[in-house]
Amino acid sequence: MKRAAPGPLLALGFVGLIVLAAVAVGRGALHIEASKVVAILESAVGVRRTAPFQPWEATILLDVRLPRVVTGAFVGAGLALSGAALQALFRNPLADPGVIGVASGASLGAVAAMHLGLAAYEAWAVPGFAMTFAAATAFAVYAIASRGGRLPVGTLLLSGVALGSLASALTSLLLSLSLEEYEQGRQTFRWLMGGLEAKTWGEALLVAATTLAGSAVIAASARELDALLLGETEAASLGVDVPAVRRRLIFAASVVVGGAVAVSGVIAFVGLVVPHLLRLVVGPAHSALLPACLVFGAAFVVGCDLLCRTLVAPEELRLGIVTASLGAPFFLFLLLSRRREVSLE
Amino acid sequence: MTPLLEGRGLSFAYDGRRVLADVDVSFSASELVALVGPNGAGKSTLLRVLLGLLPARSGSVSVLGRPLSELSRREIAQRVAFLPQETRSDFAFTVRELVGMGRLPHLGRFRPEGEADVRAVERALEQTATAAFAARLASELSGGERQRVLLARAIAQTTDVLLLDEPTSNLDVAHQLEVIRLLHGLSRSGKAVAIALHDLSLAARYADRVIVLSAGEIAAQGSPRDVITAELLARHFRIHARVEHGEDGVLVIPMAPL
Repeated sequence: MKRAAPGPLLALGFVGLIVLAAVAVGRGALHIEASKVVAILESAVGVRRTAPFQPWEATILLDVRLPRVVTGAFVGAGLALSGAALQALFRNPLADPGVIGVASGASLGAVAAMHLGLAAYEAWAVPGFAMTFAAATAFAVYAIASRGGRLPVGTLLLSGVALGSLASALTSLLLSLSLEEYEQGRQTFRWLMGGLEAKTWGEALLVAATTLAGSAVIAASARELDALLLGETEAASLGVDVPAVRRRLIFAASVVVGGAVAVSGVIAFVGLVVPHLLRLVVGPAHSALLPACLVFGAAFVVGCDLLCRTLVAPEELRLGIVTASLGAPFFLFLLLSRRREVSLE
Repeated sequence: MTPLLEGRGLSFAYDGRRVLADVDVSFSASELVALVGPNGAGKSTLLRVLLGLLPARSGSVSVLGRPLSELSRREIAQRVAFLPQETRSDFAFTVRELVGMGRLPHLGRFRPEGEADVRAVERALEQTATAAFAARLASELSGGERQRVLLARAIAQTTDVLLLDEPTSNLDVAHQLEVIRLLHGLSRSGKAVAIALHDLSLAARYADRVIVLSAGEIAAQGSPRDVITAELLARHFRIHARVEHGEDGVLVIPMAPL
């Protein structure tokens, strides 16, 4: 397959993201015309004095839909980027934040915060718990799997699966306990299905901060990630301090995934499908792959969320359900048509 | 002459099993050294200990006069290039990208490849006759082409020392000769080149010095003419072989296992 030049592809993705975002803020249970969308945005940034729209239209657009779109964009960007980083780290195109248990750990943290009743009083509780649990899971997996500074990939993946299952079991336990209280159980259950509804600017800023901080660390390791794809011995012989890079990347991915899971629940397949597809288009080199993951991951989640809100309007589908329904068959198709490339050997 | 890479009293054990015992080696500029020995003699382990990829149980390594333990991985990679025996990856890099990775120890975090880097990569591609397929995917190459590409990556690292683990295995005879001649030429340009080799004839013919490793110890070392004898092959390789000294060097003809 011939590769696309990274520059034009990035530009294309960025334009696509902007268009999708513009459509997404106008569409929904209540339709706002394109001209009004532009006018509202213009007056919000102060370049327009007249207001050819209703105040409540501006409120819906600026305080309900825009934070939702921004949150979705950063969640998608972060999940795709950390997926790409973890795939290089484990030298496995099937690795994903879910695989090493980080997403399940983050999920358990968020549900624990809700169960303890902290979520109702403290805005930081869910993200704080999610990131802490994500990092704790990542480092627990790391500690269990590493032997004298070495980290056999098989052991790592298996301990990730084991700890992830434990976290999921504990999450279910907390959920069943929460069901005693109708409102708390309902909140937990809806959160677990994953979604972007009722996102505030606070949450948008939170996930923007975690995604940008983690991405900066991951992007600074782009060349080391390339070398790691060749194997640990090769990477080390090319001058990469493998244990240090691994620690740094696992920590950065935990911050990104913890932030994303806290605001939107577990959104499956973004970290798997987006990098995988982009690798086919731009190749495996991370200097091109990582920026593409940011842009197309963002566009993918914003697009899926738009589908959630418009397919059965005025009802809404859950985002996690849409990404999984699109991602799973597509991924299976890739798996069957390109068996060699996703082999686990 | 001070050696470029030197190991003194190196010992190593895997799970209590002794693999290297008190090994002294040194590699000097403009020298092609062949490391030979039967399977399990410790050749690959010795190369990895010399690179600091495996921790020596005892002994010390110095690179260009500095202790290995004082150098970061990056500093080691600026001085010593390594080509491991088996390399494979499910990720589809082009030949140019793969060879370009040899520049990694010389690049800054965000700095793009400079003129010197581009030149080093181009030179490596030319020397290994791989420039013609620089744009192809490494995964689509034949075994011989792929091996030359990996060699090009090691050359692009522009180090004073090159360590190679079985660079000619999986190659047909013509490609074996091509690779060993290339390495011989590199040693003549002033580098120290050390190769772990199974092929005794290649070792005898091209190496300036042969080190025979047997059961983790150095059994013999010196010029191929002095070291490779029928008696040594019988004792350490357990074969009956004819060794002929001709004009072109030493010729080893394996006859039968002992």
